[in-house]
Amino acid sequence: MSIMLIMLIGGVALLGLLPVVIAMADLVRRPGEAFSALVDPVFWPRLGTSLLIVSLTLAFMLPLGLVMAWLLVRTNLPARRLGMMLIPFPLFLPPLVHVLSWFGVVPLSGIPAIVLVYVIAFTPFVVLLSARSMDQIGRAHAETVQLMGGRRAVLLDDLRHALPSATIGGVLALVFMVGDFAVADFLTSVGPKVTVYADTLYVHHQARRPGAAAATAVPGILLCLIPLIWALRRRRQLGATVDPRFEPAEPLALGGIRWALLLLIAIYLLIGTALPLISLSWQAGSWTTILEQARGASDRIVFTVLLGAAAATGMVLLALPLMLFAQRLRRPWWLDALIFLPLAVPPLILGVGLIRLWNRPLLDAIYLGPGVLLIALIGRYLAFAALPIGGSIERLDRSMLDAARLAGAGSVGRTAGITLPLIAGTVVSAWCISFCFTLRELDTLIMLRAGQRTLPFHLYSNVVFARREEVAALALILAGVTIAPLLLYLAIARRAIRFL
Amino acid sequence: MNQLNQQANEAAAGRTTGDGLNVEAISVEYGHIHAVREVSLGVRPGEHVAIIGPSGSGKSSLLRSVAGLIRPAAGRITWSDETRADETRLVETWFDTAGTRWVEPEHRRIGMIAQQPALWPHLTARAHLIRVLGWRGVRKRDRSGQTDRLLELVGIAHRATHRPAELSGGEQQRLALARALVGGSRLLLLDEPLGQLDLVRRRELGREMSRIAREMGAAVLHVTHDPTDAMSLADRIVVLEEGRMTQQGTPNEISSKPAGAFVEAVDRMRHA
Repeated sequence: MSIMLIMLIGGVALLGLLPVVIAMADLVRRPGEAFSALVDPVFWPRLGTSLLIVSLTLAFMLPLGLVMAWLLVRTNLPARRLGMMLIPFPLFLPPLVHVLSWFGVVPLSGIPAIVLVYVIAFTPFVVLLSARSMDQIGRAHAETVQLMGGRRAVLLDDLRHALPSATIGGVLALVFMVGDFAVADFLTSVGPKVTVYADTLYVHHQARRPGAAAATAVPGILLCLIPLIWALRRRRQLGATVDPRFEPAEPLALGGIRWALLLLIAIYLLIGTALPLISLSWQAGSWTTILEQARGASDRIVFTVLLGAAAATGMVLLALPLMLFAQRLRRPWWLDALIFLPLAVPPLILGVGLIRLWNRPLLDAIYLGPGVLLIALIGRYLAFAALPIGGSIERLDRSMLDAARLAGAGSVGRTAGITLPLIAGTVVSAWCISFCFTLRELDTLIMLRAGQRTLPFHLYSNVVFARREEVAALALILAGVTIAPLLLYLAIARRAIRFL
Repeated sequence: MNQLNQQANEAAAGRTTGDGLNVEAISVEYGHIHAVREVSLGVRPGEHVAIIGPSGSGKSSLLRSVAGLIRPAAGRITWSDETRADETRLVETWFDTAGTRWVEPEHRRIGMIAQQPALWPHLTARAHLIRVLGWRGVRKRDRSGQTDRLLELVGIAHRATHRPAELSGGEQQRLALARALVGGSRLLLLDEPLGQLDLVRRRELGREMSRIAREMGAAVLHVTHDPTDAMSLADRIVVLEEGRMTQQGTPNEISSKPAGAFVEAVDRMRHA
């Protein structure tokens, strides 16, 4: 293993693994507290409630996402290219923005409302990842399957291709759902209260029982990490190298029904993106309110955008060499685990670990400034840069790199001259995805003092105290700032972002 | 080791004063599978040697080990430059059996064309050659002239500003040939490079590849499963079966005294 790779892995470990290990060490330091938390009679029902919400969400989300991906990639649905470009938008609107936009005007509450928000917000995970797999179905393969078994066989084969990726999408959604308490908290603030798994962690943290918080985090971490690693490995087993002569399969003709099916995509986009923005604009009342809020929060907006841009750049700069080196090791499972661990860990645990690690007299410059926020964001969301970049590198045709090697190119020449130009689109895409995710992050940053300067924190703290139109205006600003780079990417690249 | 390999080894060993590529008792293994077993051969500059054999006989493994893309389990691969007037010459060892010497493919100054030309989709034909000249350390001011000459020589000068996706199959192979030869490649490795072309273009382009490589003084080691290609293009033919060399000689020798199951079967088919 090269020194460079060891340094890169060390960097990833310092950013993501070390804070988690420090926080989880409380399991050993306070075993009694940890044990009592696990046998606490309220803990398992809360975990059960979370599992119920997650299961219901996945039950709706997986079929919906797979159907939409299939329609957008494998059929002659009208405007499917545009549809594919617009599909990620609901994902990049923070769940709190979905909640504020919808449930300020529609009286829904309880578990059905939580499930609805999650389905709307996270279905793009399944669509984008499944679509990327279906994109790789070649013409010759599809034609052979059709000749052997007809349309039914094509459908089943498409499903077989996309299922591992759809599972990754489902598990990524699961990671966000398991760690989230804000949506359930807000949606059940009136009527019967739904207390979820993440609430337990928060309560233990507030009560200064770190051993109990660490113990209760364990089931969540296992729940997220094990299926994620399994799905990633399964997907790579089915993954194919795309050579320059690759010919995609012909889209299947849907006949007259295609306009009706287009309606399904249109309704989803309407509910997931257009209506929330319209609803927030309506709730904000006037442009004056929005401008006033933007002026009032201008420092936070600039700080948040710069922080997001710096974090996204850091993620891409770290993920790129890491994945290039990882390819030489055939990307072992433990590297995936290392990258995904900080994402699978409840944000609160990551926050506690970061405080313990960086809150030291000599490190004030990092802990009290944006430094610790950058570390938190890069550590937590590195996976969203590593996943598409690693996938692109894996799919590069080896023979093109061999040809460069024989032509005299060393490793730097091959990377700069062949690999980077061929994956440039994915790198830009990864930057946009990383940027959007950093701007919707609240749960980790809320734990850190410097995080109070960010726009999501400002919005969260205003939900309770500010007037409804002010909150709506802030949510609209946050949504606009989050999706702006995505719009810019789509306008320039004119193609959907690449997620895997 | 069979008798033929023994003789070839002795021949290779005795040719230490010979020029070009010398492969001595090379073995290639994939785990427990022996793909190539102690094969020896030599190719002189300007000579075209074809390796024929059925699928799975180890032809491509042998070629890739010469290229340095896979590391042989045993043997020795060297390149000897032409003898100078003062009787001195340079012998480069690319690999030796002790594994103490290994030259990376990028430092062997060789070119390779496979069935899939593996062109770089983001570069124009011209940029392909300019890029390779850069990697091979050719000065900037010399790159343009060399590129133009080679594109002219392979017959795609009029397509210089086109990317691979805009070229026909034959043009793509011509570009692959130019890329393989640019910057002073001394050995050209061909791995079924004509397999995707129709019969007429295949013969035409095959002859042209051989001619251009000879003109540039490059040695050619050509892997094919089609004996007709080998007979029409090569100066010498090496037959591989189950990883072992079963026969070698000129096309006339091979066709007049076929030895080994593969050549005999091909010969029967030709006369059927």
